[in-house]
Amino acid sequence: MDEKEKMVEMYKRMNEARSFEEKVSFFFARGMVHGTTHLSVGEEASGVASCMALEAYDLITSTHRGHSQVIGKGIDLNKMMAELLGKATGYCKGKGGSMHIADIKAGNLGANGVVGGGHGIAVGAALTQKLKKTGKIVLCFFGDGAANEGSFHEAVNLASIWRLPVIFFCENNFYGMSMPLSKHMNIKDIVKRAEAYGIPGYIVDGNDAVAVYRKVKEAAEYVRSGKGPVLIESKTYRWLGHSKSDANVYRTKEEIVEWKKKCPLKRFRAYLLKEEILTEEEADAIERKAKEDIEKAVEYANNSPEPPIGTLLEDVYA
Amino acid sequence: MREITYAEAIREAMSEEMRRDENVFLMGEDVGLYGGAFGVTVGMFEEFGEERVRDTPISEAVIAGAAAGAAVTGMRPVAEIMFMDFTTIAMDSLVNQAAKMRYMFGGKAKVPMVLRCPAGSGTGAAAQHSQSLEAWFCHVPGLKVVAPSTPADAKGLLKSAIRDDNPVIFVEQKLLYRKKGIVPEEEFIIPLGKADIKRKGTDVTIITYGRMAESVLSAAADMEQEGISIEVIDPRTLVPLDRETIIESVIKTGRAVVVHEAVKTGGYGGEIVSAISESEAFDYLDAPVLRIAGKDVPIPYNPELEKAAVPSVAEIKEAVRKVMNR
Amino acid sequence: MAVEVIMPKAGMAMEEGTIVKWYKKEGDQVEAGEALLEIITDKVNMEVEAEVSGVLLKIVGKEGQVLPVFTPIAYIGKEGEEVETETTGKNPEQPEKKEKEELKKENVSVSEKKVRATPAARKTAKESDLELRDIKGSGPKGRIQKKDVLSLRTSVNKMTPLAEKIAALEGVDPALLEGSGYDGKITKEDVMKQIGQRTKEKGKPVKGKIVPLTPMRKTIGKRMSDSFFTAPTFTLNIEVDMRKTKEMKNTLKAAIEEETGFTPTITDILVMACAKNLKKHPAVNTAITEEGLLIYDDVNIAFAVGLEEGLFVPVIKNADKLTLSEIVTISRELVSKAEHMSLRPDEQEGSTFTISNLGMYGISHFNPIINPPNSAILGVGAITDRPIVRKGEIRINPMMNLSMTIDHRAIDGAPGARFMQNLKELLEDPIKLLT
Repeated sequence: MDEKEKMVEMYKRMNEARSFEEKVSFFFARGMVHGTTHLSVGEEASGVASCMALEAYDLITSTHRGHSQVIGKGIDLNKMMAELLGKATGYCKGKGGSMHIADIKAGNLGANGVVGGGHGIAVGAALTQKLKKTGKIVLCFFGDGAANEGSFHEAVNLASIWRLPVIFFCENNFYGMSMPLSKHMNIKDIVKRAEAYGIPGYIVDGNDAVAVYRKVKEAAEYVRSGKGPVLIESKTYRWLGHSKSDANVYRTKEEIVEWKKKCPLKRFRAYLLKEEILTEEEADAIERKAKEDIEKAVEYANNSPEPPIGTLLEDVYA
Repeated sequence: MREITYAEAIREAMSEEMRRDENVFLMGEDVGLYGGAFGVTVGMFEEFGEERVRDTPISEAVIAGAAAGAAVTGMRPVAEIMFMDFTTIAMDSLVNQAAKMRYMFGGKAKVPMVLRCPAGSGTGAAAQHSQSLEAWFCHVPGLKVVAPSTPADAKGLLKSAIRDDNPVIFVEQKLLYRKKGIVPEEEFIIPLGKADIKRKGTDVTIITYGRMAESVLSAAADMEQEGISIEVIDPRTLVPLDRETIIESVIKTGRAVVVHEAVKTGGYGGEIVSAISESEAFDYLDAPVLRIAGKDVPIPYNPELEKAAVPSVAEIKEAVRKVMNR
Repeated sequence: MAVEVIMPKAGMAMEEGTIVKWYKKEGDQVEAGEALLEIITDKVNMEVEAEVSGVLLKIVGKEGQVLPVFTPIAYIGKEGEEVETETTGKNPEQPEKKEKEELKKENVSVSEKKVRATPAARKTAKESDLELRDIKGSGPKGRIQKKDVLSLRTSVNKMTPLAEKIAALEGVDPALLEGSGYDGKITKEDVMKQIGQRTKEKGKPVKGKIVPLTPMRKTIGKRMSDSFFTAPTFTLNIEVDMRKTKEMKNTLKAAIEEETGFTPTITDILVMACAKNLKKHPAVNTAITEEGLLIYDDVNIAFAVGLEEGLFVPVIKNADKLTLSEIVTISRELVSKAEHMSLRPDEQEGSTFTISNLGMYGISHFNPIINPPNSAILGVGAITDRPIVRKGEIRINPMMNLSMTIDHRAIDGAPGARFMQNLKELLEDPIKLLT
């Protein structure tokens, strides 16, 4: 895939992520997706472009707000939708759900229901790459909230002293659930923490797909060369509540409207048209196709069987 | 037959497995040049080098978390948490990550890691360096829990644990490290989930594991003089538990006592007693099943207080007499 | 038309059986050949299979009930079919009464204090059909232990031989008797008292605990008294020097253990010696039948195995053709099966001669009762070192008494004596067993 093709693919995946989540939101309201689900609408550039900057064989650890991330990494939408509907054909045979989408063979080491839960796993996976000299790197997604977990500090420090090939990619959406960044830490930029662990740190506009792509590409080269980890802070915003039970009392309507104007999809589309990578018609077609593919995924999921009760006790132990 | 210490047996198990499989490596606090807080890994840094015997910062959460991450991507890490008490800091990595990955990802992950945990009292290290927390881990589906009582068991079980494709919590009682025992020189492994009958008997079954096995065997030898024949069963692996061997023995003797060092309330002994009472052995019980376990207190510093906090041989004998109505 | 399920006759001597457990309940669909219930005969536990397919319409034989063979215990038919109760009327009051009794007992136990007993004691009591309320517990706070139940169970059947004989003669059920002798043993006086009371207080309920005899106990009793009161017997005693036989046993021990995994015993050698000797003395290998004296072709040796559950007499078939190793193996298998209550009827039938060894209890000699239809039984006493005179010198050798009880209708004194004499020769010079 050359750069141009990558850009097109990126646009496709961002649209898939958007359509997927709109569908999930629709299903959730109808009780078809149970438990809870964390939507990343508004953060698609961050989740998708960062993954697109990796090689297909690289690895990621994803988060509870991970739909854009795992779609960015490249995923079978049918199996993903089936998993959200709890079907036997889902990625996790209906046992994981929204928060645990994993595709280990494809390098997705799993979304994580625990804030900061992926840090240690990413570091361990990076250690494997170093010990086995595979040339692969690991990208560890986390949020501004997770940057306050002890595991973040332990993991970044360990990766730093062992010079492990891992990109710590912080999706800073300015709220740890309801607590604004200005209240949950006394620094403005999380990237400052990189210095404390002796690693490079960069800020990137998380709603600018191209900027995210270029920065991660650059970081990946550095990390792959064996120089140790990098911290990237991608500033972005989630349009919807923390989870489906969020009444959004801690944010103003104005703030949300302001961020919606910075829609990463619209912005990227404008770029693609301006650079003449896509025509209007082609861009429309991609958007339509994304919606259609999600509908197909829904159909696949709806036609899939429920996991038999007999599978309840399976796969506890290897 | 040669005799080696429990610590040496563990070292042999790890060294043999590291020679056999290049995916096996060690990590933990001071396990490298220093040789481990209890000297268990002495000499391994020299043989295998710093890449495979990795000193970590004092960061238990990431020791366990990185072990899980390395395991799920193809390595077989053996991580040491210097004192089992510090697993508290590693709990998310173990309970929410390592234990769950396979199940919540629909069986598509394997997490072949071992977490070695020096545990137990008797060293005068007081409340935060003396606990036996094995029951916590037994309560988490997805983890296996092993607690060997002899050098040979430690070696054979650790080799199995390293080869096992699941996260295994390996409980090493610190006071056992210097204990010697016969360990075959030729290679052997002991499967997880297989109890060992440490002594045959007919009147009372005592189920015990770890350091208490020695106290129980000494009580059993004494009580032979009183005409009471005790069968001692060491499950060795708490998860999976070899229920059959325990139940078979209790059916035979009709009386059972469970002994462990960990505190009584919520201890694994309750699980063993339940396994007996839920089984066919119930109909053969001729006395209530007793638990002799650590007192429900933090481990105190004063040596006499510390001793009093864990089961003594006298207490074990008393329990046996009680179930024998003597 | 509904088909009866009956208490089957599962062995020549079986007269009644106990229903242990129903596997099926009323309304269940059953297939021909499917197990319906478990019963205990006089010797074994066995399953009763459905003879026809259909719906199990009605169960009339309750668990725990002792019923004569051929009694209908259930009916199988078509769904919704009415069962004719006329046939059940054969024995109508028995189950009902029992039910009422049980009901009464239950009411009592609810109002009374709950019984303190271990699970093992409860299980043993249930198996032995004993009431826990009747048992005194030796454990803490009067808790009934397993051994308390066991000791009651055995004391129930403890009788002096004389008492047993009289009770059998007079048709007194020993279960109704309370023993006044040592350790609760039932004596002649107890039986006589019972007989006196029976005549005096006819119809009045007898005081004391009622413990039904197990079918096995009854069978043993009946067979023994039949034998004892039918056959005119006499007993021949002889003393045997067992030095060489013991030496031989020790010499062969390792080889036989290697081959069979079992240690040979004196009884095994006795089985072999008797088998060889019976071949030479066919007159002893006989039975009195209605047609006349049956002289057996085969030599099948039964040996008595006394267990807590009762007396078993498994049979080693064609013992004269077996090597010592084979005898050892077969006899251990039979003993093990007896211990597990799993001897098949055919493994306990067809004996032509019986050996009963009480030597292990230190019994020096005793008069065994013939095991019918045999004409003879050999009682074996303990081997003890005793001074004997050999060639004018006193020596101490391991000596054993053999006592053979003979049915005089079949065997006369002289042939019996010759059998004993030759048996003694074989055992004192066991190399002759090779001939």
